[in-house]
Amino acid sequence: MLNVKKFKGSLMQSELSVLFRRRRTWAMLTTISMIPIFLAIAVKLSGSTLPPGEGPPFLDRVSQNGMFVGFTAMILAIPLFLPLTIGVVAGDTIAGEANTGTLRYLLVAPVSRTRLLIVKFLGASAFALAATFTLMITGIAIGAILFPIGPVTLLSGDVISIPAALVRIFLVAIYVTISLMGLTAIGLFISTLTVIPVGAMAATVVVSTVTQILGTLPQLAVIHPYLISYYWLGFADLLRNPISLGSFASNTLLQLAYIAIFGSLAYGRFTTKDVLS
Amino acid sequence: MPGHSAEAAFEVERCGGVPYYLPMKRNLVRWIPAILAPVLVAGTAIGFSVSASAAIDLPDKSASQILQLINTNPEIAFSGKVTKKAQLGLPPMNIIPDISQAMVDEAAKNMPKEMKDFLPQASAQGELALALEFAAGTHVANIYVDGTRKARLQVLDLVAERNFIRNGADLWFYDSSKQIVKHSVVNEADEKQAQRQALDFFNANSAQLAFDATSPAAVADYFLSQAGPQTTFSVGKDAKVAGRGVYQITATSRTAGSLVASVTVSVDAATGLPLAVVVTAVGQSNPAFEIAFDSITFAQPAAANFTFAVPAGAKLIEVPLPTQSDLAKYTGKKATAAQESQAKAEFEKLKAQGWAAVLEVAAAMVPAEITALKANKLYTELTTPVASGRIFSTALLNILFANDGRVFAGSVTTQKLLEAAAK
Repeated sequence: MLNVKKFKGSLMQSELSVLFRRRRTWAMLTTISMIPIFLAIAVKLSGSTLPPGEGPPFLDRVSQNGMFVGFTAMILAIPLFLPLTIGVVAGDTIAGEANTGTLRYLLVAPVSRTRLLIVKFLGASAFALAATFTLMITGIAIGAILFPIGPVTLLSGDVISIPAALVRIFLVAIYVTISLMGLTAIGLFISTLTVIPVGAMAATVVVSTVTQILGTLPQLAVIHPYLISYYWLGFADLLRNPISLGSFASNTLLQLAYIAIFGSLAYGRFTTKDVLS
Repeated sequence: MPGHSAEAAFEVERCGGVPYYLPMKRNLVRWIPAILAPVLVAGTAIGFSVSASAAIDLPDKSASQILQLINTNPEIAFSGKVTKKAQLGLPPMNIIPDISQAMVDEAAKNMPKEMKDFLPQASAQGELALALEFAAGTHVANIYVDGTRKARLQVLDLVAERNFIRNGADLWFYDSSKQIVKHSVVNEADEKQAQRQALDFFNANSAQLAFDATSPAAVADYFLSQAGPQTTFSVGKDAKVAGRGVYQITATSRTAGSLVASVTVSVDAATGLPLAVVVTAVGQSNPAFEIAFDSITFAQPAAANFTFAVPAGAKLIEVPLPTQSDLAKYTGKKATAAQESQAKAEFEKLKAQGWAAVLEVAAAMVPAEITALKANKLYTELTTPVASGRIFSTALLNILFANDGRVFAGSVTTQKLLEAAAK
């Protein structure tokens, strides 16, 4: 009798070790960490303080408080960089294995397709977690090196201590990770449709971009609350006083809905398709 | 037959562990979750909205009784979240707030002519931009109220916030994106005195009123009878706003040519606090303006919600309020009998016009700020030219800036406004 529990763990472990041993994964995480680094260096070198209200939110505060590098980088990375890396990882999940011919070997081992799908989804989500934390931690680190750090002024004008600010930063990173999970599910589904990983990656990025374009059209205001990107910038609600967890909850529900729909589509497709490679 | 089983084994592998001889049914079963998931999601979403607007039946009340119910106790304490939506028909495109005119002009210079339609035509900076921004579009805000001396409006912008706070004698405004703090100090002694004077004036003159001012019922009835000829009041179905039972009272315009079709106020059955106001415009199916609580609690908000300290890095601007001696300059002058009767006549004229009232401001009376506005590119962008001047047109209000300097404003069609101006 096979120890199923142990086996399940090992599948997850092997998935994570493969994912985080790939050079591509490290290249993407390095690129992500470059966002706050370049941002901080640019602000440091320019020397001139930006008038408040111009440029991306918080950018004008970076030179006064290095803690804001992480927030500004997060705002810059959310629309394109993070979805791009999620597209690469999630689009690669099934199609990548199929393309290299390893999918059928994975399935020859007594692994149910459902479990493989779940492990692939969790692996891609783990990457999202790693990506957001990389961004935040690099942001705070480079901010601390180049600028003074101190108590953080919230959007409401209240000032909180550094430890309290770190708690909020942690919540923001969790929020953004959850924000990306719906897209991960979409990428997973697209990945089951094809054996060409680049196609699945591109399609996932296209979904994220098109969604955000739809989100800017005022004529489509009716559908906006159902778009996957609707709450992406809502993490700012965690920087208010009193802390507003409403968008955290709404965002989580929305992402869960996307995971349910595209997860079950992926299940339907993946458990019924012929695996030829 | 060994040959057959080998073929079957191959097929089993080919199908990824699913033996080929299993009927197609099994494949269909695996698509069931994909069909159920959207249904489940949609069902949950609809379930939430249905439970939020579930039918409710309150004891019946007349229009007069609902008016009497409206809260008049200023010491009420509550906090909640409010959403405001406006569809005023303002041109949403081509105005980009917070970009200076120099930047707009620079962009226009560098862009090919064909792209001109996509460029912002005018900048929207300063008080006018703020006012326009508040009037149009959708805003979500938290409201905290603790009596008359503590109040806070927290406007939740995207990755930004604007706060309007009153804490005792201090008035604060904080704009997080511009990092600007405005501060004023209310002279509470002056404020109390002004309130006392107003009350004294009211008490001294209440005998002249056509109704018994001490009886809420009499006030409500008088209001209804005066509004009668131009307005139909009706009591709508009991509804729920922010999960609370409300009475809905609707005032429908009976004046032809008015832009306002109706105004509906939802009054909380338990506390009498108006929880929603909806204004519909003639010829527009969606409300032109609506403001409603999404959630509300009638507990005293924590004192910390009202405290404010200027954060480091923010620019503090002290805004002095007019003092008693400033006001005395105005109050010291007594209006002449002729002025008084003229003002009264003006008021009666407006009242007779009802919803279609047109306010005329003589050229000499137009504030300098509005005259200065005409130099702003935003003015030409937002107004349309007519023979006698330029018209600023929205779903609920039209304003005519006449060539001779007069300003006409009214909640009437442009046609009516031009007619009124021509008289």
